[in-house]
Amino acid sequence: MIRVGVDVGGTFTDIILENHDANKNEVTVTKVSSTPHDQSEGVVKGVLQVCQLAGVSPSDIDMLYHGTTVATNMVIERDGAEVGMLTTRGFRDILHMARHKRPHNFSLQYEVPWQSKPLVKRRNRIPITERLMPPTGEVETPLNEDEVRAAAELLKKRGINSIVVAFLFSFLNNDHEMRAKEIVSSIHPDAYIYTSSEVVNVIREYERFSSTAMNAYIGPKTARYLSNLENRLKKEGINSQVRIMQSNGGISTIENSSDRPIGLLLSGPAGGVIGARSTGEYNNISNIITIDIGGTSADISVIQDGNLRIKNPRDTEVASLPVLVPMLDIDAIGAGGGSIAYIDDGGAFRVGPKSAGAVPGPACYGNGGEHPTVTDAQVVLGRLDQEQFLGGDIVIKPELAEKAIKTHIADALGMSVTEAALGILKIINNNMALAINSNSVAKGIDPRGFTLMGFGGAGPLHAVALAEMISAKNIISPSQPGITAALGLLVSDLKYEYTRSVLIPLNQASDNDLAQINQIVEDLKAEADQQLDQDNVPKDKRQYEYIMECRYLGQGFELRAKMPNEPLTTKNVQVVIDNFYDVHKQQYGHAFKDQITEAITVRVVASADVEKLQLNKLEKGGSKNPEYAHLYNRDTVFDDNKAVSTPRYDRGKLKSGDTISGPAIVTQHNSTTIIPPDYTATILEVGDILIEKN
Amino acid sequence: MSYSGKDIDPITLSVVRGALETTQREMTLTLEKTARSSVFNLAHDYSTALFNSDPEMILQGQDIPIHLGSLIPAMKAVNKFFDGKIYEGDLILHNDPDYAGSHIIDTCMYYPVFFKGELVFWTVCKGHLTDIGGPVPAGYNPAATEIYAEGLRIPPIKIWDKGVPRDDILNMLFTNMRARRDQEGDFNALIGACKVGARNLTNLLEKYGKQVVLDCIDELLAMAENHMRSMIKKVPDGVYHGVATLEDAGHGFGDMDISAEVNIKGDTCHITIDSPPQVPYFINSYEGNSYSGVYLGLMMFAQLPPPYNEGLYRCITVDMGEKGTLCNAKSPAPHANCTTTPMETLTDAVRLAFEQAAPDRVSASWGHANGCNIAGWDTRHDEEYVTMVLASIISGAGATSEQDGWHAVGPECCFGALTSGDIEMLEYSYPIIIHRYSLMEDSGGAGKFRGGSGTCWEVEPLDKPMTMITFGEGRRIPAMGAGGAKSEFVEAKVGRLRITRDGKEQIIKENVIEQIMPGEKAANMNPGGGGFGNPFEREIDRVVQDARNGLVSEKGAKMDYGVVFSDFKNLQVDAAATQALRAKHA
Repeated sequence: MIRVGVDVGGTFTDIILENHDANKNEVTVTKVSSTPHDQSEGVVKGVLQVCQLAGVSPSDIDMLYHGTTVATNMVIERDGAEVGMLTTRGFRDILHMARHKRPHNFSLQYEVPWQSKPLVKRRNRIPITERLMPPTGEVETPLNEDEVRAAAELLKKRGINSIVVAFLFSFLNNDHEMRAKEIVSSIHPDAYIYTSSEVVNVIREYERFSSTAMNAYIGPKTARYLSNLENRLKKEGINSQVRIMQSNGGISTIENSSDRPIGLLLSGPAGGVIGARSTGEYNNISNIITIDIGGTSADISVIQDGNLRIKNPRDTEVASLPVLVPMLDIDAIGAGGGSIAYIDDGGAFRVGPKSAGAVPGPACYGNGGEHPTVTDAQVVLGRLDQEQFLGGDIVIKPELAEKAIKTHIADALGMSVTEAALGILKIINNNMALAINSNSVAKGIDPRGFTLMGFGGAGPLHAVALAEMISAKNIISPSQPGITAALGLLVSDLKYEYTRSVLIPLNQASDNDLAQINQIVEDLKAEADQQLDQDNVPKDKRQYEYIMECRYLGQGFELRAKMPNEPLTTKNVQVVIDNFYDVHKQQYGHAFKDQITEAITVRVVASADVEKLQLNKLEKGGSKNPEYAHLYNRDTVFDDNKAVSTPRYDRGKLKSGDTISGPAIVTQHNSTTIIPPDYTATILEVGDILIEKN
Repeated sequence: MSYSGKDIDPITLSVVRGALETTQREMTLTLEKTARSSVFNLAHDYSTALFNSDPEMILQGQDIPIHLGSLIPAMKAVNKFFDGKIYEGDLILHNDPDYAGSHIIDTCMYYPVFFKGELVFWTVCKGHLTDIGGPVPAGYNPAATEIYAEGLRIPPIKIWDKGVPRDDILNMLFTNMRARRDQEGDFNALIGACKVGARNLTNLLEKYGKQVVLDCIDELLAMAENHMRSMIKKVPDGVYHGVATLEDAGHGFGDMDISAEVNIKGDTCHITIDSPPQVPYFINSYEGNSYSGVYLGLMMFAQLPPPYNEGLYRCITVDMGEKGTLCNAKSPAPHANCTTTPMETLTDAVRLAFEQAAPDRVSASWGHANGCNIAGWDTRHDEEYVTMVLASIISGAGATSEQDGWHAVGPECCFGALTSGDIEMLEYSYPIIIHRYSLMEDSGGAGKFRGGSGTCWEVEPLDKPMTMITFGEGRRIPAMGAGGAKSEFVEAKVGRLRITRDGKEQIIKENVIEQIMPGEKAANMNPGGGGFGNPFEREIDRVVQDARNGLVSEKGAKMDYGVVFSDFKNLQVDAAATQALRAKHA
C-alpha cells in the first residue's frame, strides 16, 4: 500500500509518502516550492519527487490525500466567479446588508467587505415572486416561473455562469428552489447552479444565502482546479484515488469537494490539527492544545480526550463572511515569524497582525524588508542559526535583523536591542497565549492538564514560552514540525455531514414530533450511506454520530448536543436535554433546568476509518546530552536576558530515550526546537520530543 | 516616558490590556449567545464596560455608543447611592434616568469584583429589554406626558445581597413586565456576563498582583487622555457653533433647535448645549443620556484608536444647559424615545460645531432612527408577544471626505454596533409575515460621496390584529450632509410609515399607535445617510454604477447629481445635457 499526502502552503508544498506492507514500512518526506498560479503544478512535481526519493513508481500510488488552500485564497484575494442570484422578492439585499454590524468602533475609514466586495453584485441579484411560510414551508405565493425564465435569460446574456437560487424558508420546503434550478438549467445548461437548500439546509437566511453565494463564488474555479489536478496526475500515470481534506477534519472525494467547495475553506489548517492528534495517539496523550505557527498566522485548536473540537455553527466564518459548514474549532490570529513589531501612534509597543509575508519577508532575509519581525528577534537572540535556517536554503543576515530592531524599536523606547528583541517575543507570545486562553480557559478547559504541541516551521521556537504562560502541563515538538499538516492527511477519516432544520421544543415533544425527528435522522443517514456506497466503504466499517443542535427556547444561538444512537422516544429525549445542559454550562458558565430546550437542527456525521500511518521507531538510545548528535555551541539569549553558551543538536541523529537538558537547541531542516534553561527534553519512540520543566 | 508618569513595563502593559479586552469580549459573547429576547440575541442591543473602584470607566466595549456614555455618570450615581455599603456577592440593578440611566427600558447591572476582601473592579452590562411594564407594550408610549406612564422606574437596588438572589424583588419586577419568559432569560444573560467578566478580572489580579494591574490601567487611562488631548490640540483654538433642527414628529410643539457651542483652548474642549424647555412628550433626554449624545458627536469627529476608556473625556467638560430643558430634563419628564430622539439631533449639533473647526475631518450625519415596536397575541403558543423591531431602524451611514457611506448600518445613535435579526427567525418567533427588507432607491444623501442607503421593512400580521407603535423622527428633515452636500430629491431620503389598507396607501410621518389587521401591510422606511461634498461634482461613472445597481433612479440621477440619461435602460448618459445641467449648479 502506497499512500501520499500533499499539503500546499503559501510558500512550500509538503509531501509525505508512506510505503507500507507486511515486510516494510518506509516514510519519505520532501518539499517543493508552491506554485500559487496553479497549485496542482507544485503538487504533481512534489508527488513525482517524493516517488523518486522513495524509489517507487508514481503509478503504484494507491491513495493520494490533498490539503489545499485554493478555495481559501480565492476568498481572501477575492478573485472568484461573477455570480448571479435568484432570490425571494423583497429580499434581494440580504447579502448586502448582512447583519449591519460594522467591523470597528469610532472609525469611518475602512471597508465593509460584504458591501465593497459583495459575493454577488446588486445588479445580479434578481428578485423572484414566490413565498413560503414557517413553520411547515407551506406555499403562501406560488413560484412565478416566467420571472425565473426571464432571470435565467438575463444572467445568460450577461455571461454569468455561476448562479445561486436562494429563497426564504427553503430549508422547510425546497420545491421552489429545485424547480427554479430546473428552469435555469434548461435555459442556461452550461451554468453551475447552486440552491441554498442543497448547500446548507438550515434556518437563517443571511448565513444560508451567503454560504451558498460563497459556494458559487469559489465553485467553478475550485472544480476546475480539482479536475486539472486529476488530469495532470493521470498524465503522469498516477491513477490512484484522490481524497481532499475538509474543514471538519474529514476527507472527501473530488466530486463532493467540487460540488461543495465551502467545505474546503479550512482544508489547509485542518491537516495540522489531525496530525497533532495522531502524534498524541502515538504517545498516549489525549489532551492537547495545538498551535501551528507559520509566517503570518498562528492556528490554535484544542483536542480533548482525543476528540477534535468542532466549531458551533454561526461562529464559522471566513474573511468576515459566514460559512455554515462544519469546521474544526481553529482560531487563526495574525501572529507568526513574519509579524512586524512597531510603535503605534499612541506610543504603544505592538507586534502584528501585519506581516512582512514571504516577500519582502523579515529584515534578515535581505530582500528589502526594513521592519523588524519576530524572526528577526529570534535571530538577534541567537535562537535561529544562520546556517541552519531551512537547512541553509535561505541565507539570513543577522546584522539586518539587528539594525531593524534598533531603528524601529530599541531607540524609540530607549532600550537595548536585546531587550527590544525579548520584548517582541514576549508580546507576540502574549498575543498567542491570550488567543489560546480564549479557545481553552474561556471554554472551561484547564490548560494544566493539557500538553502544548507547537508545530509549523516556527512552532517549536515558541512552544515552551507559550506553555509557561498558559501553564500547560508539558510540551511536545513533533518529529517533523514543518510537515505535521501533510502527515495529518494520512491519518484522517473519510467523513461526511448532513443536516436538516427541525424546530421542535423537546420538553413537550409529542410522539409525532419525535417520529418526525427520527424520520429526518433516517433520511440523513440514507444520504450518507449513498455517499459511502460510492466510496466503496464496507457497511461494517461505517460509523455514525447523531447530533442535535439545541438552544433554550427564544435564544438566538445553538450548541451541539449528542443524541442517543437509537430512535428518540419520550423516555430517552431527556438524554438530549441533559447533554445540552452540560454543554451550555461548560461553554457559558450557566445553564437552566427549568427552561425549554428546543431542537433546531439535526446533524448526522458519517465516517469511516482509513488505514493509519505507520511511523518507524527510532533506534534505542538513552544517553544524556548525547555527544553523537551534538553539533556545536553558540551564545543564545533566553528570557532572563542572559547570553549562555548553548549546545546545538542534530535532530536526525537523536535516538529514542535520549535526554537533553536545557539550555539547548535542536535543529532539523524544517524547524528549530528551543529547550530553555530549567527544562529537559526526552526523545520519544518515533522521534517526537517531550519537553518538561525540571 | 509613560503617560501616567508611573514606571510601567511596556510588555506587562500589553499583557494587561489584552486581558481586559478579552474580558470585555467574553462578556459580550455571553450576552449574545445566552440571551432570550430577539432584541438581545439577534439585534445585540446591549453593551458592557469595566470600571475601577473610583469608579472610573477603564474599558468601554465595542458596543452601542448610546449606552456607553451614560454608563459613566450612572456608575458614579449608583456607587454614591450605596455610599460604601457594597459587599462581595452583591449585584445591583438600575434603570432610572434620575440616576443617569438612559431610558428605563435599558436595564443596567453592576457587579462589584472583590479581591482579597477589597472592592477593585466593577463589571457592568446594559441591555434593552423588550418590555418594562407600563400602559404600552415595549416601553415607548407616545401618549405619555410623564415618566410614570412609561413603565417601571428602578432606582439602584440590590437584586443579589451578599451572594443571595433576592427572589422576592426579582419576582416583583418580572410581575410588572410583559413576556416574563424573555425578561427572565435576558436577566440571566446580563448576570452571566457580569460574572464571566469578574472571573477573568480575578484571574488577572491573581496572576500579576493588584498594584501592577492598577498601574497598567492608570497608564491606559492616561494613554486615552493623551490621544484625545493631542487630537484637540490639532484643532485651532476658537469657539464653534452647531445648530440642528429636531422635527416635530407629531407632538404639536413644533420644530425645535438644539445648539452646541464647542470651545477649544489648547488641548481642552468645553461643550455647551442649549435646548428648548422640556415637553410633555417622550422625547426629553435626562443628563446621563445626553452625555452619550455629546460624546458620540465628539467621537465621530475624533475617530481615535483604542483604548476607549474614561481617560478620553478628562479634557472635555460639558454644560448640558439649564435643568428642565429638552437635553437636561428633570423628573417627571417622559423620555422613552430619548436614546434616538433627541439624542441624534444633539449628536448632529455637536458634529456640526466640529465641522466648523475642521471641515474635512467629519462624517456627514447618519440616518436617524424612526422605527417601530410590535405587540399582539400569538395564537400559535397562546401567549402575548412584544418586541422592538431593530430591523425597522436600520438607516444609512453618512459619507466622509474619502468614501461613500455604508448602506444599512445605522442609525446614528448605534453607529453601526447594532445587528439585525433574521427574517426567518423573526417569522418563526412572532406571528407575522415580512414582505420586504431591502435597500431603498435614492435614499442615500446626495454628495460627491454618497450617503449609504436606508432600508424598508414591511410587515403583515398573520391572523390577529397587531399593535404597531412608531417612534423617532427624520421623516421630514433628511440626514444632514457635510462639506456642502445637499439633496434635491428629499422625499426619497426621509423616513416614513406606509400602511396599505383596502388597496390604498397611507403615508404617516408622525409617531402613532396603529392597529394593523391581517391583510393590511405596514412598511417602515428608514432614511439614508448624508452625503459629503457637492453632488454635482460626483464622478459621472459612479452615478452610473449606482444606477446600474438600482441605488439611484433616473429621476434621482438628474435631480441630485445633474446626470441626464439618453437611454436609462442601457445606461447611456446624455453628455451634453449632463454638462449643461451640472454647469447650472456650479
